[in-house]
Amino acid sequence: MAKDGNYISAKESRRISRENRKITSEIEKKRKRKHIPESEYVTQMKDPDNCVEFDNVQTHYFTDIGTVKAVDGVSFSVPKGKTVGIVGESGCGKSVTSLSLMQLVQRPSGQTVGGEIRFDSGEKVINVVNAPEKVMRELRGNQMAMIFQEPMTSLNPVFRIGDQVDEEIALHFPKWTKEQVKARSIEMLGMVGIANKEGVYKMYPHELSGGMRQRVMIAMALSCDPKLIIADEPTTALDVTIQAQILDLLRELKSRIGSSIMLITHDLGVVAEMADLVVVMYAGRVVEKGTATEIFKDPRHPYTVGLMKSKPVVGKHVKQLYSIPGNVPNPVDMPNYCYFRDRCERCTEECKGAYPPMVKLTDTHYVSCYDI
Amino acid sequence: MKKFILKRLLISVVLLFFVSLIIYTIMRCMPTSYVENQARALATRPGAKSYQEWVAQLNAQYGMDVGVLRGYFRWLSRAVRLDFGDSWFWNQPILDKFRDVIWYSFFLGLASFILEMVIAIPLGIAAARKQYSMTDYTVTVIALIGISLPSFFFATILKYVFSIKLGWFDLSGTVSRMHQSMTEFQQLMDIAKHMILPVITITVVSIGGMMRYVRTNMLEVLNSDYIRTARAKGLPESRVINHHAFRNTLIPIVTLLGGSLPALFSGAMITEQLFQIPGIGYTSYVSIMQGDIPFVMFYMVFLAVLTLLGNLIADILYAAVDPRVRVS
Repeated sequence: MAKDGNYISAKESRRISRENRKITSEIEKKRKRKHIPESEYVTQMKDPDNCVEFDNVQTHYFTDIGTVKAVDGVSFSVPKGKTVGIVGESGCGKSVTSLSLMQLVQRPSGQTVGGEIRFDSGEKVINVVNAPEKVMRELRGNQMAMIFQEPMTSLNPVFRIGDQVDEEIALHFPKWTKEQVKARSIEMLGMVGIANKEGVYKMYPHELSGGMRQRVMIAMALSCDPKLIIADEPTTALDVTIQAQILDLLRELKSRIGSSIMLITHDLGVVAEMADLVVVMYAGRVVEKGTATEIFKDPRHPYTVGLMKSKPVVGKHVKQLYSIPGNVPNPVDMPNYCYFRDRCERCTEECKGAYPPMVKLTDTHYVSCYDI
Repeated sequence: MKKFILKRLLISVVLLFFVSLIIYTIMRCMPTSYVENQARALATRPGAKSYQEWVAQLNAQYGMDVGVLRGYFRWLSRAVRLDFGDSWFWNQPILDKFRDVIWYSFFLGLASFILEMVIAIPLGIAAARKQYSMTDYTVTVIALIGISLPSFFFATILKYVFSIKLGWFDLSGTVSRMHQSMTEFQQLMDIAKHMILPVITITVVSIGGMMRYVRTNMLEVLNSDYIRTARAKGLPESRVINHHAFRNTLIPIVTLLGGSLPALFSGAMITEQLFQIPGIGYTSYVSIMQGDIPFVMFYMVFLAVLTLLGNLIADILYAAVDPRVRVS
């Protein structure tokens, strides 16, 4: 059937939703089993120097108009103590990748259906995809923490800042007394550069500005010394001055705690400044990955090249910034050819065929394109 | 806060003045006139005065011989001293009659209100947690049935099944035949038993809207960013729902609670009528039909006061549950 935009008949929609329910309820049933043997989710890291390894991860959303492959076979790894920047335009699966890692994808319609996400929690290596809820709860907040992109709405408006920070610390350090927890919270608030830490401890979120709230979010995320910090566009909603402060803060804290950072952003400037490694995503797939130098000095994939061209350069006058022609393709039922084909300037005969495989350029630099 | 409450109270007084004026005017314009009915009945007696003479005499007696405005101010001057006078139809001081009937309605209202909360809130939350699941659809269907059922129809079904077919309850009334010979505790239980069917009727009819309301609000809260933050902290799902989400769902529910204060006292006119319960709803219905101006005035103004008070309480509660609206 020819797809006419997003339009499908009611009958078709009913059929799709019935099939979706069958698939999702089966996955849910598997997940909700009382006893999940450890062998199903404890694995080994391929490289012990990595903190997280994404291996062919597939996270799909089963919607009424069809299956959306939000993350479709993503593989990359985050080495210990390094910062990995994930870039790509809106809707390319950056956030869903990170939510898959936390197992926070909106269920039951969103499901991680394949692949492995191996997370080194210190004692064991957990495959997050198959891990039961209980194991995940011990990892979340404790071993891996997330800073969200919307500081204005990410704090619960009806509880005091102190209560919200306390809650997380008390949860992961159940033996601590109330005073210890409070002292730690105030210490964390001080660490992220809040001058009036005792005052802020007693305030409600609406009494703080966006930058302050993001600091609170960071304090909360760092309060249990996580091995991995996922920063999902931490500075998108903030103005430039605050943005610089927050980035400085993150960098400083990273060197102090020694954790890895997964930095999700579409701001190439931020990536250039912060990241050791860069992963470029497009329409749910990794199109290019490498060290920051490789990606910025020697971009190979036409999409990466386009991204580099579209950012303003200081001291260079242009009438209009470059923009990649066309739009991101409709994510419902994607065909199996290079998704960038229709927007690509270097499209060849070969591109009409199957999706291009990952080509290794150097030990760290990989690209998924025929024309390199 | 004090200033806010004081201001609201002053506005309420002005509102009350106009509300009672409008009610009084409408009452005087009603086609049913208690005076005329009385006069007609008295005039048919053997050897009685003519109808016209009776009307004139009764009008003077009941204070209906003046215009609407003067009549209103006469009523108002007494009402501000809490002297509402005697009911024409019930032939006793209004406050006495009110005291006799209000408790039936109040307990009827209270019982169904509590039941409604206890059933609707958990079901609404359950439906929201499992959106588009079997639970959700079941709750939605029950809610829609509740919303669509007229109380007289549902009450009749209940009566047919539980009173006539099964014989568990009496068909109507508040006491059974042997009421006088019972001990005090038995009497209480007897009355309570007679309240079961009316309470079920009122609850089922009003529960649907509440369930939908809770569900909608919970869904909105569950999709918000701070719930994701709470999950990302590693909190167990029960705490996410019962602590983080519920406190936020409470905000709109609380405003609804303030609004239902008058409902506790206003009585359920139709249900009380169907089950022959002498509550305020039933009494006021009869009073209106008979054109008993003093009683209806009292009842309406009482409801107006409760409505205004309910709104004020809702605003204060709102500030209590939502730190963002606290007036500093």
